Amino acid sequence: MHSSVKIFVFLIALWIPIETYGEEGSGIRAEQFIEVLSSEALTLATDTTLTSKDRLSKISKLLSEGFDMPWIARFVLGRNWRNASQNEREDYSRLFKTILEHSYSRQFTDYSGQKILILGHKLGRRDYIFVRSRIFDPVRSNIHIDVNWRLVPAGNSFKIVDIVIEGVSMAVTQRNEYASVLQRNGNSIPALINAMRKSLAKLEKHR
Amino acid sequence: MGNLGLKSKNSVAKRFAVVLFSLCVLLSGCKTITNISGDDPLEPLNRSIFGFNEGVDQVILRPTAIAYKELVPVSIRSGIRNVLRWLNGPVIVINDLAQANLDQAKNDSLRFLMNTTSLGFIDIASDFDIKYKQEDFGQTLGSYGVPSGPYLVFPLLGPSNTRDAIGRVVDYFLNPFSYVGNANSRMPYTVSKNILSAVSFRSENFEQIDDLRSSSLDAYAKVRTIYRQQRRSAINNGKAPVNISAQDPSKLFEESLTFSNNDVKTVREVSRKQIKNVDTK
Repeated sequence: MHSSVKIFVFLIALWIPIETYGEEGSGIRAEQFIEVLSSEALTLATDTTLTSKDRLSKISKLLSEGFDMPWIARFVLGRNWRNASQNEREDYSRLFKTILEHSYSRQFTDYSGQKILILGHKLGRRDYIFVRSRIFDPVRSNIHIDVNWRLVPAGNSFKIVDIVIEGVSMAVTQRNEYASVLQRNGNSIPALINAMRKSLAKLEKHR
Repeated sequence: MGNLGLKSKNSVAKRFAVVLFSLCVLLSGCKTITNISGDDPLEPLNRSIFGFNEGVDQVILRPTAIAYKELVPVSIRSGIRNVLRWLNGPVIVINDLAQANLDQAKNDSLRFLMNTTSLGFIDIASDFDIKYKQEDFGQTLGSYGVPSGPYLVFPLLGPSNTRDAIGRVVDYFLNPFSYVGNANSRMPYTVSKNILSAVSFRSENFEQIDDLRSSSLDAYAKVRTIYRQQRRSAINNGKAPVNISAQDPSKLFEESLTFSNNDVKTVREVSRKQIKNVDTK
């Protein structure tokens, strides 16, 4: 009697982790991942004790932990990634990350004091998981922003590869913008890297 | 904004015919390239108009928006925004009906009537969870699969495309408010409505627009892709897209752009109460 209960409990214990790491479970965990990450980000934004330099370094940490930076950088460059040399890829990836950190750090300060609500998830093709959320502005309470997150599984956790704000994808926007710069400069990667350097200098001057 | 390009002393109908005709010529002239709707055949011209608009923004619109934010209290500003939205109410209902979206038409009519009690100044409907949702004739055309046509940038009015430009003209004539008053009062009404819309929009999105400019490698290309994505999302209303061009690189990410309730496997539906809680926290 006793041992059969033990076996039963043991089996249940085995079954639970299998269930939570199954398809449905990964969606729920992805929702939790976004919930934790976005509340961390929003706390960071409302923390007035931080200097802008501290904020930037914390955002940088959050970005490298939460986002699949190499994936995003590659997606944004598109087919030109293949034409780039190893050195160019490294330069580009480093600049890309720094530019993203700067623009996110600015956006975080704009979005201060907002609340996020996780609405659900969808399992997409090729391991993609989408988490649906809504951001509320306490000042203008009748306005909300729909934000969808695209994630890929990474080990025990997830990495963000795109944020879609009111139907506008950050990754697609950047990809199209960079494609235009390349197109106007005869697909020259050094020209793009140069434009990125200029843009970064402008961003650094503005803070 | 509206129809600044339509101003002339001719009759309203004549202006309509001329603009519609010229847009049709433009559209048919570009027929061979409409299938690659991702393209921008008028890019050099569009870029110079974009540059002009940027200049107007720096010299006039941006400083005006700063003054507007400084001088006008936030309650008045949101009142003005509500009135501007209310003035579009009838057009939204007509377009809901044209898209055979009866539920939305019912909601938007109710919204318009409720807010009419304050001539649109107070957004009472939002308190009853009947939110503002922009619908226009460009979206209606898009919902029936009409391609966007070439991307266009208009002086002062900003980004558009042939389909949306036609939609804009049609909306003007669909709106009963366009016929209020006599011919002499209509033009000042339209002009001031457009100016106020521009200032209100600029002040509401002040940081975002400034950020967009300072963080861009190519602001023109960025605005173009944002405009296209926003319009497509508005046309789809979160449903599966009709008519995605194969050349459009954003189709790679179409899944994330077409997030509908039906797709969500576990929707933790948020009750109105929960949302209210978040609001008041």
